[in-house]
Formats: sequence, C-alpha cells, structure tokens
Amino acid sequence: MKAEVSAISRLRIGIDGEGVTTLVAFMLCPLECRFCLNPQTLSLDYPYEEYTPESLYEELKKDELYFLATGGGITFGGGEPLLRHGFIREFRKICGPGWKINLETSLNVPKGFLEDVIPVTDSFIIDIKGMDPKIYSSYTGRDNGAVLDNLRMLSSNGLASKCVIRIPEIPGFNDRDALLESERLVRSLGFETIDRLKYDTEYAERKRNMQDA
Amino acid sequence: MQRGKEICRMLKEIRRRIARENDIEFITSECRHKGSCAGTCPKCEAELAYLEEQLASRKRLGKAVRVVGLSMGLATIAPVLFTSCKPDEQDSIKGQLEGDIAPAQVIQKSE
Repeated sequence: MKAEVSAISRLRIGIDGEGVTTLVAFMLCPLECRFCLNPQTLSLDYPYEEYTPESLYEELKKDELYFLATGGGITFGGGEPLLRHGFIREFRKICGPGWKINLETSLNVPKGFLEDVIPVTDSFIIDIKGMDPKIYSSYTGRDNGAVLDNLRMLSSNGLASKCVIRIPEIPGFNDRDALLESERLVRSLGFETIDRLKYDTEYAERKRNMQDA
Repeated sequence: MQRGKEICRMLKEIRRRIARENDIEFITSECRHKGSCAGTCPKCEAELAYLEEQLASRKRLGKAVRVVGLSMGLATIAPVLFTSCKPDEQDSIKGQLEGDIAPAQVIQKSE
C-alpha cells in the first residue's frame, strides 16, 4: 500500500492538534476551492513522494519523544486525507496507540471512508467551508451533501467532542450572516468547538500563480 | 525566524524535562545562532538522539522510563506565536517542496 505525500512538516506546535505534531499532506482532493492554500496537492503533475505506512513511520518516528511528552502526534491533511483511509488505518497499526492521530478534512467523502478511520482517529479538524449549499458549491465546485451526512454521523455516534469545526470567512463568497448561520447549524448538531477563520486570499493567489507559472 | 526560535526554546525545555524526570545528565546551552531557524538544527537533533540513547539504555537495564505526558499543555504556553501559519522553514519533502504547507490563518476562536 502506497500513498502520495506532498509534504511533511515537522515540529508544529499549537497549529493542528495538541502538543507537538507533524503534518503529513497527502496529494489529491475532491474539492476545487477557489482559495486553496495547497494547490500543489491537487494534481499528481506536481511533485510528491510515495510512502508506505511503514516507510512513513520510519520517517516520522524521529520526533516520537516530543509526541509522547506533549500528547502530540501526526496530523494528516492535504489534499484530503480521508481519500487515504486505508493507509491511515495501517499507519495506526504500526505507530501504536501512543501517538495522537488527527485528521484535517473537509468530510466531503463517502461515509464509508470516514467510518473506516473513526476507530483510529483521536481528533478531527473539519473545514466545512459553510453550511449553505449554494455558497459551498460556488466556492468548492462540489455539493456539500456528503459533508452534512458525515457531520450528522459523527454527532449521532457521540463523536462531536472529538471535532473542531472550522468555519472560514471567505472573501467574496460568504458574509457575516452566512457565518453566523453556519455556526448556528453546526452547534445545533451538537458540535461545540468552533474555530472561525479568515482565508488568506492573497497568499492563496500567490501560491496559485506560482503553481501556474 | 522568531517562530523558529520559539519552537527551538520549547523543544529544548521538553528535552530538559525528559532528562530530569529520568535522571539523565543533560547539559545544553542557549543557541547563539543568529540566522534563520526551523525550530531544530543538527545540535538540537544530536541532543534528541542522545536522550533516545540514554532512555534506551535505561530500558535495557530494566529501569523505569518516564516520557508520556511530561509536557502536556505545551500548546497553551505560547499561543500567540502560533495562531497563524505561513509556510514553515522546516516543511519539506526531501527538499522538493520547501515551505509549501499553509492552513488558513486563525483570526478568531470561539467555543
């Protein structure tokens, strides 16, 4: 089993999970977000490196003391990490229970992908973009039906406390009312930890231009 | 650079705690490097490797080793420095894609 990895970022603190974390960014994503901050993950035409769960563990274990001491571990992002659900399950078998595994996901995947990783995941960082289907579609080019189904599934299984919901302000796509309504709907599903973000559109545009150059 | 220095300082403190809790002699010094810092460097990595060797040695001798949870709550020590994320100097994929991971910038958090 192999997965294409765009980048590995070590020694992150307080960004994407408790303690010291290493971010592993997988290639490929089902969304086409206008201000994607990691457009280099969207196509296999861009550079990547292949890892097996075993070889990835060998690469990451150098920071094990930091993970164990701080309650940290690995954050899988991308791209969309749930496209690699089988890989993540295998990785957990190898790294054991001591490392935290966090997923930074859009949840816009088939329900089975999410169900597959629930037993091995400590926390979910979920960027929902927004709950309004029209805004979501205009920004990502995709429908958000699967996102809503997966949010309901997490909540109904008592997993809301494992989730951080990110609701971004997306210039030109949503406004304060839309943000508040999204937050209200998310809270009504039982999610309590909510990050409100603002996308750095200038940075995203620069990245996109660099990719296109 | 400031962010890298702060990460370096925090990781050094974690190493100190691990050493202290396990009765490992650990002599370190403040970094005097003036240039760009990714939060770690060969000197820091060598200190980490030394700790790992010492801990492994203790295990072989049947001594108890204490690491888990020694520095819990680390992320709350310096939240201001780490609430925004631009490309990190330590980002890498074998040198192919330096500084290329960037989640959104957190401007407000509510619980």
